[in-house]
Formats: sequence, structure tokens, C-alpha cells
Amino acid sequence: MRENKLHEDQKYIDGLANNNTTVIKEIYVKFSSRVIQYINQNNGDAYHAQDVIQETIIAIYNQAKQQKLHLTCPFETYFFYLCKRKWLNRLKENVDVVKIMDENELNTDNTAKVLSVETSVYEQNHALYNEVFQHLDDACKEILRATFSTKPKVEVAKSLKINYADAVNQKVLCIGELTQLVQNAPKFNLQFY
Amino acid sequence: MEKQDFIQFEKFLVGDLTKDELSIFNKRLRSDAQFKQAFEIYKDISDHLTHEITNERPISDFKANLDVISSQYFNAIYDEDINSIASSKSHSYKFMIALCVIIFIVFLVFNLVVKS
Repeated sequence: MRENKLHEDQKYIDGLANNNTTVIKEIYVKFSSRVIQYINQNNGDAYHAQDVIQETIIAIYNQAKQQKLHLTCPFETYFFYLCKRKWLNRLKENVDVVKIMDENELNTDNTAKVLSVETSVYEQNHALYNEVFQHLDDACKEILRATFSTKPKVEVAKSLKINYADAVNQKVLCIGELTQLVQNAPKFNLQFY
Repeated sequence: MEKQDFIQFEKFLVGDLTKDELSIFNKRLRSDAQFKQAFEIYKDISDHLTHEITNERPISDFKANLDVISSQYFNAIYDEDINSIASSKSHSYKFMIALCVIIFIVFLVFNLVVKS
């Protein structure tokens, strides 16, 4: 899939990564109504659609910012599929959902489907990383914040009151602890590993 | 995973492994599924922390900007909904008034006809 040619709609991904207001507005104007309509038809309302769209755009932004998103299909299909997936996952948490309308045409665009699943998994894993980070002790959190910052090494060492080599050693152990917390988490999604 | 494994992961990521160490590392990546999985997670967490910590300000700016755009877009939709409800209510009122006027006129005409 990575060998496929980039779609011209990559401009939306790049625009999001650059926090381009014009592009974000364009995404709302061009692509939101279909999502709102779908959620309205499936046990939701415009308020739900607002949340789903906003969370989806943040997920795309994060993935794009890490340069891990290369669009090889139309943005509209990818975006709609992602919003739909997010909404259906939320509905699944509700037992009293009776009927869900499906849009068959989505199933025919396999690239969009694969890309949207990747973004969903990316989002879930990163939510999990943020969650397990909170389980670290304060010393580890401080070491990770300092060593991953763009501050010069001398400043990092000074702020932590240890030499930089020790800070890096502790950083490695803290990431190791996070790795084990992630592996043991029930929400851990194996799909990406 | 052992402490030494995480040290190897870090050394690999920053390119600090010697040629021999690199060869052993790659061999283990191919043969040990657990080692590979732990490495992928370690690497992904490192990428995630780099992104979250070095981009703290841009991420918060983006979310603030998105909040504004989303509110503007959806407030227009909510206003439209309220206006259409208000407009349909106002149409109902107009219809009721018109109906009353017609009934009143019919009543007057009927009285005039009866009297004449």
C-alpha cells in the first residue's frame, strides 16, 4: 500500500499538520455534512457529530504531524470511514442500539478502509500510551519530559540534578517500564506490532 | 524483557550499536517474536513521547484553533435548526390567525344571510 501513489488530497493531511485554518475550514464545509447525516440516521445528533468529527481530526493531525500518514485514496472516503468507525465503536458501548444503517459503497474502497483502520489503531495506541504514562512515578515522568524536550543536554542535566548519561540511562528504564505496562494492558492492540 | 534489552533498543535507535552488536540484534529481531514486539512498542512509545513533548505548544495551538472552527461551523447549524423551528412555529401562528379570520368572516356572512 505504501508503494501506491500519494493522492492529491494529501493536501488536507499536510494542511492539518501545519494547522492551516483555511484547510481545516474546508474540511468542515466539504466533508462534515455526510458525517452529520450518517450520525443523525444512526441514533445520534449534531452534538455527537461535532465530537466525533473533532476527535477524528485530532487523530489525523497527530498521525500527520509524526509524518506517519500518506494518503493514497480520496480524503472524503477516508475521513467518513474514520468518523463512521469512531461512531460505531461508541454505539457498541451502548447496549440499547437497535438498528445501524450501513453504506455499502464504503466497503468497496479498500485503501480507504485500510488507512482508516490504521489511523484508528494509531489513535487507540496513543491514547493507551497517555494512559499508562500516568501510572509512572513522578521521577520517571520528570525524566521523560526533560530528556525528550528540545533543551540542551547541559540544561536537562541541571534541571534533573544528575549528569546527562545517568538521565539517559533512567530514560531507557522508564520507557522500558512503559513498554511493559502497554504489553500488560487489556486495551493493548496487537494490530500494529 | 530484561533491562539490558531496553538498553539495546535505545542503542539501536540512536545508532550506537557496533557492527557485531547490530548483527546479533537483527538476528534476534527475526527469530524472537517477543523481542520484536517489545522493540516495536518501545520504538512507538519513543516516537509518541517525542511528538507529544516536543510539539506540546503546536498541539495545544491546533486544538484551540480546531475548537474555534468547529464551534463556528456547528453553531451556524444549531442556529439554522433553531431558526427553522422558530420559522415553522411562526408559520403555524400565521395559519391559525388566518383560520380564525376566515371562520369569523364565514360567521358574519352566515349571520347576514340568516337575517336577510
